[in-house]
Amino acid sequence: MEEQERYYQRIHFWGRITLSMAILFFLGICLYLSFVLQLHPGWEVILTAFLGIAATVGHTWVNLSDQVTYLLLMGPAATYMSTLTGNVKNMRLPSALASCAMVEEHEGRMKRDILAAYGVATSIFVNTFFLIILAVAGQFILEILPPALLRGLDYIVPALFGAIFAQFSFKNARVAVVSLGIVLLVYHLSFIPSFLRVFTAIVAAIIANIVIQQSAARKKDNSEDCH
Amino acid sequence: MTAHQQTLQLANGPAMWLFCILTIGLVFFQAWIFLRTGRQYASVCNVTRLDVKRSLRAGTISTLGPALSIFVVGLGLIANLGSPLTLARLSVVGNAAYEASAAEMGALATGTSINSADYTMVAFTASVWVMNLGGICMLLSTLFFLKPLDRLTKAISHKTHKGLLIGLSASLASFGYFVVDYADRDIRNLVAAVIGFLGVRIFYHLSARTKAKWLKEWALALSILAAVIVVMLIP
Repeated sequence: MEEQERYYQRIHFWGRITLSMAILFFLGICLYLSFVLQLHPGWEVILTAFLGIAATVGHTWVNLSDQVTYLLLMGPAATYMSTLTGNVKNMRLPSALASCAMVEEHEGRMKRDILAAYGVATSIFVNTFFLIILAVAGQFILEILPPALLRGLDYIVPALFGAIFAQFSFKNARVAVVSLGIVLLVYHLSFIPSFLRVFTAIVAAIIANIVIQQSAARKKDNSEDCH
Repeated sequence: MTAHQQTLQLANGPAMWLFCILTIGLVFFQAWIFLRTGRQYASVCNVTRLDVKRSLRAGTISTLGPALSIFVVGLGLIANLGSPLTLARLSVVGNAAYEASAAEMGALATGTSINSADYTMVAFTASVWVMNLGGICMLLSTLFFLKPLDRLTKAISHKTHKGLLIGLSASLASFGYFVVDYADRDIRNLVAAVIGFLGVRIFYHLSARTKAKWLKEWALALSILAAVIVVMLIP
Protein backbone atom coordinates (compact mmCIF):
# COMPACT_ATOMS: atom_id res chain seq x y z
CA MET A 1 0.00 0.00 0.00
CA GLU A 2 2.80 2.38 0.93
CA GLU A 3 4.64 1.57 -2.30
CA GLN A 4 1.52 2.47 -4.23
CA GLU A 5 1.28 5.78 -2.41
CA ARG A 6 4.90 6.54 -3.35
CA TYR A 7 4.29 5.69 -7.02
CA TYR A 8 1.39 8.13 -7.27
CA GLN A 9 3.34 10.82 -5.37
CA ARG A 10 6.15 10.65 -7.91
CA ILE A 11 3.78 10.72 -10.86
CA HIS A 12 2.14 13.90 -9.58
CA PHE A 13 5.51 15.47 -8.80
CA TRP A 14 6.89 14.92 -12.31
CA GLY A 15 3.55 15.59 -13.96
CA ARG A 16 3.41 19.04 -12.44
CA ILE A 17 7.04 19.84 -13.21
CA THR A 18 6.75 18.87 -16.87
CA LEU A 19 3.51 20.80 -17.41
CA SER A 20 5.09 23.88 -15.81
CA MET A 21 8.10 23.56 -18.11
CA ALA A 22 5.77 23.34 -21.11
CA ILE A 23 4.10 26.61 -20.08
CA LEU A 24 7.53 28.28 -19.83
CA PHE A 25 8.50 27.06 -23.32
CA PHE A 26 5.19 28.23 -24.82
CA LEU A 27 5.59 31.68 -23.30
CA GLY A 28 9.28 31.79 -24.14
CA ILE A 29 8.89 31.58 -27.91
CA CYS A 30 6.12 34.22 -27.84
CA LEU A 31 8.24 36.64 -25.82
CA TYR A 32 11.25 35.96 -28.03
CA LEU A 33 9.38 36.80 -31.24
CA SER A 34 7.70 39.84 -29.69
CA PHE A 35 10.55 41.48 -27.84
CA VAL A 36 13.87 40.06 -29.02
CA LEU A 37 12.96 40.12 -32.71
CA GLN A 38 10.70 43.15 -32.08
CA LEU A 39 7.74 41.72 -33.97
CA HIS A 40 5.20 42.45 -31.23
CA PRO A 41 1.71 42.78 -32.75
CA GLY A 42 0.33 44.71 -29.75
CA TRP A 43 -1.49 43.43 -26.68
CA GLU A 44 -4.92 44.47 -27.95
CA VAL A 45 -4.43 42.35 -31.10
CA ILE A 46 -3.36 39.35 -29.05
CA LEU A 47 -6.22 39.83 -26.60
CA THR A 48 -8.86 40.14 -29.34
CA ALA A 49 -7.67 37.00 -31.08
CA PHE A 50 -7.29 35.16 -27.78
CA LEU A 51 -10.87 35.99 -26.81
CA GLY A 52 -12.01 34.63 -30.15
CA ILE A 53 -10.32 31.32 -29.41
CA ALA A 54 -11.57 31.35 -25.82
CA ALA A 55 -15.13 31.66 -27.09
CA THR A 56 -14.80 28.58 -29.28
CA VAL A 57 -12.78 26.19 -27.12
CA GLY A 58 -12.69 27.92 -23.71
CA HIS A 59 -15.36 25.67 -22.21
CA THR A 60 -12.87 22.79 -22.32
CA TRP A 61 -10.23 24.68 -20.30
CA VAL A 62 -11.66 24.02 -16.88
CA ASN A 63 -13.42 20.77 -17.48
CA LEU A 64 -13.13 18.91 -14.21
CA SER A 65 -15.60 16.28 -15.36
CA ASP A 66 -13.19 15.26 -18.15
CA GLN A 67 -10.36 14.99 -15.65
CA VAL A 68 -12.34 12.74 -13.35
CA THR A 69 -13.26 10.64 -16.37
CA TYR A 70 -9.61 10.30 -17.40
CA LEU A 71 -8.51 9.49 -13.86
CA LEU A 72 -11.09 6.74 -13.60
CA LEU A 73 -10.20 5.30 -16.98
CA MET A 74 -6.43 5.57 -17.22
CA GLY A 75 -4.92 7.01 -14.02
CA PRO A 76 -2.78 10.13 -13.42
CA ALA A 77 0.40 9.29 -15.40
CA ALA A 78 -1.51 8.67 -18.61
CA THR A 79 -3.63 11.78 -17.94
CA TYR A 80 -0.59 14.06 -17.55
CA MET A 81 0.89 12.73 -20.79
CA SER A 82 -2.43 13.06 -22.59
CA THR A 83 -2.86 16.62 -21.38
CA LEU A 84 0.57 17.65 -22.57
CA THR A 85 0.28 15.98 -25.96
CA GLY A 86 -3.41 16.54 -26.76
CA ASN A 87 -5.63 14.41 -28.99
CA VAL A 88 -6.98 12.75 -25.87
CA LYS A 89 -10.29 11.38 -27.06
CA ASN A 90 -9.30 10.13 -30.49
CA MET A 91 -5.82 8.83 -29.71
CA ARG A 92 -4.58 8.71 -26.10
CA LEU A 93 -7.69 7.40 -24.39
CA PRO A 94 -8.19 4.56 -26.89
CA SER A 95 -4.49 3.67 -26.57
CA ALA A 96 -4.67 3.65 -22.79
CA LEU A 97 -7.83 1.60 -22.67
CA ALA A 98 -6.77 -0.89 -25.29
CA SER A 99 -3.59 -1.41 -23.22
CA CYS A 100 -5.40 -2.22 -20.02
CA ALA A 101 -8.42 -4.02 -21.48
CA MET A 102 -6.64 -7.31 -20.77
CA VAL A 103 -6.10 -6.56 -17.07
CA GLU A 104 -8.32 -8.79 -14.97
CA GLU A 105 -10.78 -7.17 -12.60
CA HIS A 106 -9.14 -8.42 -9.42
CA GLU A 107 -5.69 -7.15 -10.38
CA GLY A 108 -6.42 -3.63 -9.27
CA ARG A 109 -5.92 -0.06 -10.14
CA MET A 110 -2.19 0.44 -10.03
CA LYS A 111 -1.44 -2.25 -12.61
CA ARG A 112 -4.06 -0.75 -14.87
CA ASP A 113 -2.61 2.74 -14.45
CA ILE A 114 0.94 1.59 -15.22
CA LEU A 115 -0.14 -0.28 -18.36
CA ALA A 116 -2.28 2.67 -19.48
CA ALA A 117 0.84 4.83 -19.16
CA TYR A 118 2.78 2.38 -21.36
CA GLY A 119 0.00 2.55 -23.94
CA VAL A 120 -0.08 6.35 -23.99
CA ALA A 121 3.72 6.63 -24.13
CA THR A 122 3.78 4.26 -27.12
CA SER A 123 1.06 6.31 -28.75
CA ILE A 124 3.18 9.43 -28.28
CA PHE A 125 6.28 7.82 -29.81
CA VAL A 126 4.31 6.52 -32.81
CA ASN A 127 2.58 9.86 -33.35
CA THR A 128 5.81 11.84 -33.12
CA PHE A 129 7.47 9.44 -35.53
CA PHE A 130 4.69 10.19 -38.03
CA LEU A 131 5.01 13.93 -37.47
CA ILE A 132 8.73 13.81 -38.17
CA ILE A 133 8.10 11.91 -41.41
CA LEU A 134 5.46 14.53 -42.16
CA ALA A 135 7.98 17.31 -41.84
CA VAL A 136 10.49 15.47 -44.03
CA ALA A 137 8.46 13.81 -46.78
CA GLY A 138 4.79 14.66 -46.33
CA GLN A 139 3.75 15.87 -49.75
CA PHE A 140 5.44 13.03 -51.57
CA ILE A 141 3.76 10.33 -49.46
CA LEU A 142 0.27 11.78 -49.92
CA GLU A 143 0.71 11.71 -53.67
CA ILE A 144 1.56 8.01 -53.82
CA LEU A 145 -1.16 6.74 -51.42
CA PRO A 146 -4.26 5.55 -53.32
CA PRO A 147 -7.32 7.75 -52.50
CA ALA A 148 -9.49 4.72 -51.60
CA LEU A 149 -7.03 3.89 -48.82
CA LEU A 150 -7.11 7.46 -47.51
CA ARG A 151 -10.92 7.28 -47.28
CA GLY A 152 -10.80 3.98 -45.44
CA LEU A 153 -8.50 5.48 -42.80
CA ASP A 154 -11.37 7.67 -41.58
CA TYR A 155 -13.21 4.61 -40.33
CA ILE A 156 -10.43 3.19 -38.18
CA VAL A 157 -11.57 5.22 -35.18
CA PRO A 158 -15.23 4.08 -35.03
CA ALA A 159 -14.11 0.48 -35.62
CA LEU A 160 -11.59 0.82 -32.80
CA PHE A 161 -14.25 2.12 -30.41
CA GLY A 162 -16.58 -0.77 -31.25
CA ALA A 163 -13.74 -3.25 -30.79
CA ILE A 164 -12.66 -1.87 -27.41
CA PHE A 165 -16.25 -1.84 -26.21
CA ALA A 166 -16.38 -5.54 -27.12
CA GLN A 167 -13.16 -6.22 -25.16
CA PHE A 168 -14.60 -4.63 -22.04
CA SER A 169 -17.94 -6.37 -22.53
CA PHE A 170 -16.17 -9.70 -21.96
CA LYS A 171 -15.38 -8.76 -18.39
CA ASN A 172 -18.99 -8.39 -17.40
CA ALA A 173 -21.76 -8.68 -19.97
CA ARG A 174 -24.44 -7.34 -17.63
CA VAL A 175 -22.48 -4.18 -16.89
CA ALA A 176 -21.95 -3.77 -20.66
CA VAL A 177 -25.66 -4.04 -21.47
CA VAL A 178 -26.71 -1.71 -18.65
CA SER A 179 -24.04 0.88 -19.60
CA LEU A 180 -25.02 0.83 -23.28
CA GLY A 181 -28.70 1.24 -22.39
CA ILE A 182 -27.89 4.27 -20.23
CA VAL A 183 -25.68 5.75 -22.94
CA LEU A 184 -28.45 5.44 -25.54
CA LEU A 185 -30.82 7.20 -23.16
CA VAL A 186 -28.45 10.03 -22.17
CA TYR A 187 -27.30 10.53 -25.77
CA HIS A 188 -30.83 11.54 -26.71
CA LEU A 189 -31.37 13.91 -23.76
CA SER A 190 -30.86 17.08 -25.74
CA PHE A 191 -31.33 19.39 -22.73
CA ILE A 192 -27.91 18.32 -21.38
CA PRO A 193 -25.17 20.43 -23.03
CA SER A 194 -23.21 18.21 -25.38
CA PHE A 195 -19.83 18.61 -23.63
CA LEU A 196 -21.38 17.32 -20.38
CA ARG A 197 -23.27 14.40 -21.90
CA VAL A 198 -20.44 11.84 -21.80
CA PHE A 199 -19.77 12.62 -18.17
CA THR A 200 -23.49 12.37 -17.34
CA ALA A 201 -23.63 9.00 -19.09
CA ILE A 202 -20.60 7.76 -17.15
CA VAL A 203 -21.92 8.84 -13.76
CA ALA A 204 -25.38 7.44 -14.51
CA ALA A 205 -23.87 4.12 -15.65
CA ILE A 206 -21.72 3.87 -12.51
CA ILE A 207 -24.69 4.51 -10.24
CA ALA A 208 -26.98 2.13 -12.13
CA ASN A 209 -24.41 -0.68 -12.08
CA ILE A 210 -23.68 -0.27 -8.38
CA VAL A 211 -27.39 -0.28 -7.55
CA ILE A 212 -28.01 -3.35 -9.70
CA GLN A 213 -25.05 -5.20 -8.24
CA GLN A 214 -26.14 -4.44 -4.69
CA SER A 215 -29.70 -5.52 -5.27
CA ALA A 216 -28.45 -8.71 -6.92
CA ALA A 217 -26.20 -9.37 -3.92
CA ARG A 218 -29.10 -8.76 -1.54
CA LYS A 219 -31.34 -11.16 -3.45
CA LYS A 220 -28.63 -13.79 -3.22
CA ASP A 221 -28.30 -13.21 0.54
CA ASN A 222 -32.05 -13.54 0.99
CA SER A 223 -32.29 -16.78 -0.93
CA GLU A 224 -29.39 -18.18 1.10
CA ASP A 225 -31.19 -17.23 4.33
CA CYS A 226 -34.21 -19.27 3.26
CA HIS A 227 -32.21 -22.47 3.02
CA MET B 1 9.71 38.42 -52.12
CA THR B 2 6.21 38.61 -50.60
CA ALA B 3 5.62 39.23 -46.92
CA HIS B 4 4.52 35.60 -46.53
CA GLN B 5 7.78 34.32 -48.05
CA GLN B 6 9.75 36.45 -45.60
CA THR B 7 7.58 35.07 -42.82
CA LEU B 8 8.33 31.52 -43.93
CA GLN B 9 12.06 32.24 -43.70
CA LEU B 10 11.57 33.26 -40.09
CA ALA B 11 9.17 30.37 -39.49
CA ASN B 12 11.75 27.86 -40.75
CA GLY B 13 14.63 29.61 -39.01
CA PRO B 14 16.84 28.46 -36.12
CA ALA B 15 14.80 30.06 -33.28
CA MET B 16 11.67 28.20 -34.31
CA TRP B 17 13.61 24.94 -34.69
CA LEU B 18 15.03 25.38 -31.20
CA PHE B 19 11.51 25.85 -29.83
CA CYS B 20 10.40 22.75 -31.75
CA ILE B 21 13.24 20.59 -30.46
CA LEU B 22 12.77 21.75 -26.86
CA THR B 23 9.04 21.05 -27.01
CA ILE B 24 9.33 17.57 -28.50
CA GLY B 25 12.22 16.90 -26.13
CA LEU B 26 9.97 17.75 -23.19
CA VAL B 27 7.24 15.41 -24.46
CA PHE B 28 9.77 12.58 -24.73
CA PHE B 29 11.29 13.39 -21.36
CA GLN B 30 7.89 13.19 -19.69
CA ALA B 31 7.02 9.89 -21.36
CA TRP B 32 10.44 8.49 -20.43
CA ILE B 33 10.18 9.50 -16.78
CA PHE B 34 6.69 7.99 -16.43
CA LEU B 35 7.77 4.77 -18.13
CA ARG B 36 10.78 4.53 -15.84
CA THR B 37 8.68 5.15 -12.74
CA GLY B 38 6.17 2.56 -13.94
CA ARG B 39 8.93 0.01 -14.45
CA GLN B 40 10.33 0.62 -10.97
CA TYR B 41 6.99 -0.13 -9.40
CA ALA B 42 5.89 -2.82 -11.86
CA SER B 43 6.77 -5.66 -9.51
CA VAL B 44 4.49 -4.23 -6.79
CA CYS B 45 1.42 -5.02 -8.88
CA ASN B 46 2.67 -7.97 -10.97
CA VAL B 47 3.09 -6.33 -14.33
CA THR B 48 4.50 -9.06 -16.59
CA ARG B 49 6.53 -8.82 -19.78
CA LEU B 50 3.51 -10.03 -21.71
CA ASP B 51 1.38 -7.23 -20.23
CA VAL B 52 3.93 -4.68 -21.38
CA LYS B 53 4.14 -6.21 -24.87
CA ARG B 54 0.36 -6.05 -25.19
CA SER B 55 0.33 -2.42 -24.08
CA LEU B 56 2.92 -1.45 -26.65
CA ARG B 57 0.99 -3.18 -29.41
CA ALA B 58 -2.35 -1.72 -28.32
CA GLY B 59 -0.87 1.77 -28.15
CA THR B 60 0.57 1.46 -31.65
CA ILE B 61 -2.59 0.10 -33.26
CA SER B 62 -4.84 2.71 -31.65
CA THR B 63 -2.61 5.56 -32.81
CA LEU B 64 -2.03 4.64 -36.46
CA GLY B 65 -5.37 5.82 -37.88
CA PRO B 66 -5.66 9.20 -36.12
CA ALA B 67 -1.94 9.87 -36.62
CA LEU B 68 -2.42 9.56 -40.37
CA SER B 69 -5.37 11.98 -40.35
CA ILE B 70 -3.31 14.52 -38.41
CA PHE B 71 -0.66 14.01 -41.06
CA VAL B 72 -3.09 15.23 -43.73
CA VAL B 73 -4.10 18.38 -41.83
CA GLY B 74 -0.45 18.94 -40.90
CA LEU B 75 0.53 19.24 -44.55
CA GLY B 76 -1.73 22.26 -44.92
CA LEU B 77 -0.25 23.90 -41.83
CA ILE B 78 3.36 23.34 -42.92
CA ALA B 79 2.75 25.20 -46.16
CA ASN B 80 1.55 28.29 -44.25
CA LEU B 81 3.30 28.23 -40.88
CA GLY B 82 6.53 26.39 -41.63
CA SER B 83 7.71 22.99 -40.38
CA PRO B 84 9.03 23.66 -36.85
CA LEU B 85 5.95 25.46 -35.47
CA THR B 86 3.64 22.87 -37.04
CA LEU B 87 5.71 20.01 -35.72
CA ALA B 88 5.93 21.50 -32.23
CA ARG B 89 2.27 22.44 -31.93
CA LEU B 90 1.00 19.14 -33.32
CA SER B 91 3.15 17.28 -30.78
CA VAL B 92 1.52 19.06 -27.86
CA VAL B 93 -1.90 19.94 -26.53
CA GLY B 94 -4.58 20.94 -29.00
CA ASN B 95 -5.61 19.01 -32.09
CA ALA B 96 -4.83 19.97 -35.69
CA ALA B 97 -8.17 21.74 -36.10
CA TYR B 98 -7.52 23.87 -33.01
CA GLU B 99 -4.02 24.85 -34.17
CA ALA B 100 -5.34 25.87 -37.58
CA SER B 101 -8.13 27.99 -36.14
CA ALA B 102 -5.92 29.61 -33.47
CA ALA B 103 -3.32 30.56 -36.09
CA GLU B 104 -6.06 31.96 -38.31
CA MET B 105 -7.57 33.91 -35.40
CA GLY B 106 -4.21 35.58 -34.74
CA ALA B 107 -3.78 36.43 -38.42
CA LEU B 108 -7.33 37.77 -38.60
CA ALA B 109 -6.74 40.16 -35.71
CA THR B 110 -3.83 41.69 -37.63
CA GLY B 111 -5.99 42.01 -40.74
CA THR B 112 -4.72 39.11 -42.85
CA SER B 113 -5.01 35.32 -43.06
CA ILE B 114 -2.46 32.53 -42.82
CA ASN B 115 -2.52 31.62 -46.50
CA SER B 116 -2.42 35.10 -47.97
CA ALA B 117 0.62 36.82 -49.47
CA ASP B 118 0.54 39.63 -46.88
CA TYR B 119 0.87 37.28 -43.88
CA THR B 120 3.64 39.29 -42.24
CA MET B 121 6.10 38.31 -39.53
CA VAL B 122 4.09 40.42 -37.07
CA ALA B 123 0.92 38.52 -38.03
CA PHE B 124 2.86 35.27 -37.61
CA THR B 125 3.88 36.41 -34.12
CA ALA B 126 0.20 37.04 -33.33
CA SER B 127 -0.60 33.49 -34.51
CA VAL B 128 2.15 32.05 -32.32
CA TRP B 129 0.83 33.97 -29.29
CA VAL B 130 -2.73 32.77 -29.74
CA MET B 131 -1.78 29.13 -30.38
CA ASN B 132 0.45 29.06 -27.33
CA LEU B 133 -1.81 31.02 -24.96
CA GLY B 134 -4.68 28.66 -25.79
CA GLY B 135 -2.31 25.74 -25.26
CA ILE B 136 -1.32 27.07 -21.84
CA CYS B 137 -4.97 27.40 -20.82
CA MET B 138 -5.50 23.75 -21.72
CA LEU B 139 -2.70 22.73 -19.34
CA LEU B 140 -3.67 24.82 -16.32
CA SER B 141 -6.57 22.83 -14.99
CA THR B 142 -4.60 19.56 -15.09
CA LEU B 143 -1.62 21.29 -13.50
CA PHE B 144 -3.66 22.53 -10.56
CA PHE B 145 -6.55 20.12 -10.12
CA LEU B 146 -5.45 16.64 -11.16
CA LYS B 147 -3.71 15.88 -7.88
CA PRO B 148 -6.60 16.87 -5.58
CA LEU B 149 -9.09 15.15 -7.89
CA ASP B 150 -6.99 11.97 -7.82
CA ARG B 151 -7.11 11.99 -4.01
CA LEU B 152 -10.85 12.52 -4.12
CA THR B 153 -11.68 9.72 -6.57
CA LYS B 154 -9.41 7.34 -4.69
CA ALA B 155 -11.10 8.15 -1.40
CA ILE B 156 -14.52 7.55 -2.92
CA SER B 157 -13.66 4.21 -4.48
CA HIS B 158 -11.99 3.14 -1.23
CA LYS B 159 -15.06 3.99 0.76
CA THR B 160 -17.51 2.16 -1.46
CA HIS B 161 -15.24 -0.84 -2.21
CA LYS B 162 -16.56 -0.60 -5.71
CA GLY B 163 -13.43 0.73 -7.42
CA LEU B 164 -13.32 -1.92 -10.11
CA LEU B 165 -17.01 -1.81 -10.90
CA ILE B 166 -16.71 1.98 -11.14
CA GLY B 167 -13.79 1.75 -13.55
CA LEU B 168 -15.49 -0.88 -15.70
CA SER B 169 -18.79 1.03 -15.84
CA ALA B 170 -16.94 4.24 -16.71
CA SER B 171 -15.00 2.51 -19.51
CA LEU B 172 -18.06 0.84 -20.98
CA ALA B 173 -20.15 4.01 -20.75
CA SER B 174 -17.54 6.22 -22.43
CA PHE B 175 -16.82 3.76 -25.24
CA GLY B 176 -20.52 3.08 -25.61
CA TYR B 177 -20.99 6.82 -25.95
CA PHE B 178 -18.26 7.18 -28.58
CA VAL B 179 -19.74 4.27 -30.55
CA VAL B 180 -23.25 5.74 -30.46
CA ASP B 181 -21.92 9.16 -31.40
CA TYR B 182 -20.11 7.80 -34.49
CA ALA B 183 -22.87 5.36 -35.44
CA ASP B 184 -25.32 8.27 -35.44
CA ARG B 185 -23.40 10.08 -38.21
CA ASP B 186 -23.87 7.80 -41.21
CA ILE B 187 -24.12 4.19 -42.31
CA ARG B 188 -20.37 3.76 -42.86
CA ASN B 189 -19.49 4.81 -39.34
CA LEU B 190 -22.22 2.56 -38.01
CA VAL B 191 -20.95 -0.41 -40.01
CA ALA B 192 -17.35 0.24 -38.94
CA ALA B 193 -18.31 0.31 -35.25
CA VAL B 194 -20.49 -2.81 -35.50
CA ILE B 195 -17.86 -4.83 -37.40
CA GLY B 196 -15.23 -3.74 -34.89
CA PHE B 197 -17.47 -4.95 -32.06
CA LEU B 198 -18.49 -8.23 -33.72
CA GLY B 199 -14.92 -8.90 -34.87
CA VAL B 200 -13.55 -8.86 -31.33
CA ARG B 201 -16.43 -10.96 -30.00
CA ILE B 202 -15.88 -13.54 -32.77
CA PHE B 203 -12.08 -13.65 -32.51
CA TYR B 204 -12.24 -14.01 -28.71
CA HIS B 205 -14.77 -16.77 -29.10
CA LEU B 206 -12.66 -18.59 -31.68
CA SER B 207 -9.58 -18.13 -29.52
CA ALA B 208 -11.32 -19.78 -26.55
CA ARG B 209 -12.59 -22.61 -28.79
CA THR B 210 -9.33 -23.39 -30.55
CA LYS B 211 -7.05 -22.43 -27.64
CA ALA B 212 -5.14 -20.23 -30.10
CA LYS B 213 -3.92 -17.46 -27.84
CA TRP B 214 -2.43 -15.38 -30.63
CA LEU B 215 -5.93 -14.90 -32.04
CA LYS B 216 -6.95 -13.01 -28.92
CA GLU B 217 -3.80 -10.91 -29.04
CA TRP B 218 -4.45 -9.82 -32.60
CA ALA B 219 -8.24 -9.53 -32.30
CA LEU B 220 -8.17 -5.73 -32.12
CA ALA B 221 -6.01 -5.24 -35.20
CA LEU B 222 -7.82 -7.90 -37.27
CA SER B 223 -11.25 -6.52 -36.38
CA ILE B 224 -10.28 -2.98 -37.37
CA LEU B 225 -8.81 -4.23 -40.62
CA ALA B 226 -12.01 -6.16 -41.35
CA ALA B 227 -14.13 -3.09 -40.58
CA VAL B 228 -12.08 -0.82 -42.87
CA ILE B 229 -12.26 -3.35 -45.73
CA VAL B 230 -16.03 -3.77 -45.35
CA VAL B 231 -16.61 0.00 -45.22
CA MET B 232 -14.55 0.50 -48.38
CA LEU B 233 -16.80 -2.04 -50.14
CA ILE B 234 -19.92 0.03 -49.36
CA PRO B 235 -20.70 1.87 -52.62
